Amino acid sequence: MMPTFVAPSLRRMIGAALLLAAALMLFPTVAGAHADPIRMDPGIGGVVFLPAENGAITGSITVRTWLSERAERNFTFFEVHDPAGERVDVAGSLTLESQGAIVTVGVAPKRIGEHRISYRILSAVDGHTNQGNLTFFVAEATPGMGSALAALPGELVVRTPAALGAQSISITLLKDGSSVLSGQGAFSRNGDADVARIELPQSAPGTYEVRWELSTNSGPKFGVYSFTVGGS
Amino acid sequence: MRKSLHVMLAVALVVGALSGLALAHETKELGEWRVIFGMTPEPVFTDQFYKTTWRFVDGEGNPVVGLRNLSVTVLKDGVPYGPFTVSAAHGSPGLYETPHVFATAGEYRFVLTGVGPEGSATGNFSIEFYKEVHDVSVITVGG
Repeated sequence: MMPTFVAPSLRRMIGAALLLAAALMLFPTVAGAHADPIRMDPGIGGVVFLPAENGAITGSITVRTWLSERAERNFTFFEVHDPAGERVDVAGSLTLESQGAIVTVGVAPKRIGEHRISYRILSAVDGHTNQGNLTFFVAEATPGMGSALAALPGELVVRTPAALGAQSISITLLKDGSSVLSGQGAFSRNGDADVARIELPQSAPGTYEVRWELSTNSGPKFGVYSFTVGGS
Repeated sequence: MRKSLHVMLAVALVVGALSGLALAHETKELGEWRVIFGMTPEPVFTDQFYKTTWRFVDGEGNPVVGLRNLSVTVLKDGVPYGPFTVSAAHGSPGLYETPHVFATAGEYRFVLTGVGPEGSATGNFSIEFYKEVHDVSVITVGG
């Protein structure tokens, strides 16, 4: 008779031990979880080519950051500083998308150079906070991202910060979805920037897309931007 | 007799699968390392979940561990997607991976960038591979 009574209690003990083991296995995972940035647009260390006027950047961008966990809006902060230490994120622009899994913030850069995003994120999943820095580069292009031009200039001029270490740029230019030019340019140092030029085709109204590939000291970087000519 | 036929068939299937796998993976030299690129599983179709993998081995065939800041930019027709973070695979030293789902068929270019292990002579590096993604609608079942 004894084994009949011992067996259920053993089963219970084994069951409890298994539950405890499962809980212990789960605990470090939960304790170690944070809302980490896993992807960014522009890419982490990536480059954006914005238009400029009299040496000052005129365009703006939206930086989008994908998180490994949902964030809590009221305790999530993203601040963007330019190379001169000036804060350039647009006040009140921080929003959360996809139930907190994507953070977007508007940025209005003033100068070329490496921009630093300082973040503090409260996870809506487990209440843990996480903080750190992400960087991207602002460069100047004529024509640049989002430009609306009366006519296409004779050449594309790009100016990148020296810190980026740009060596050459390759572009494919599309007009209204069709490729009209493939070109390359080598950078030469000009003050604290590197400058490259690529001859453009004859002007025609339309929507243009620049698919670019930059060779830098830290490896290749890629991107795409568009602009319009002739009010289309 | 039937049993030996089954064994032969199984052997043929395994050999066939392995040779297919070997063909599907591409190897490139990167300095003193070899990098073996592939997807799991292969062949690759649209709208399915895949792991893109890079296996790093040194000149003696030992795994290269401790690679840092790994990320991949995936390009289709010159349009970049990413960069996506690439992580060391659990329990397989020298293997690095990241998940992908491809929306459209065609040729994709994978540009992996990173930094060599702490204390090694390799600093920033980059290596690229190409992979054809097939339209999932070509898979038909039945008639």
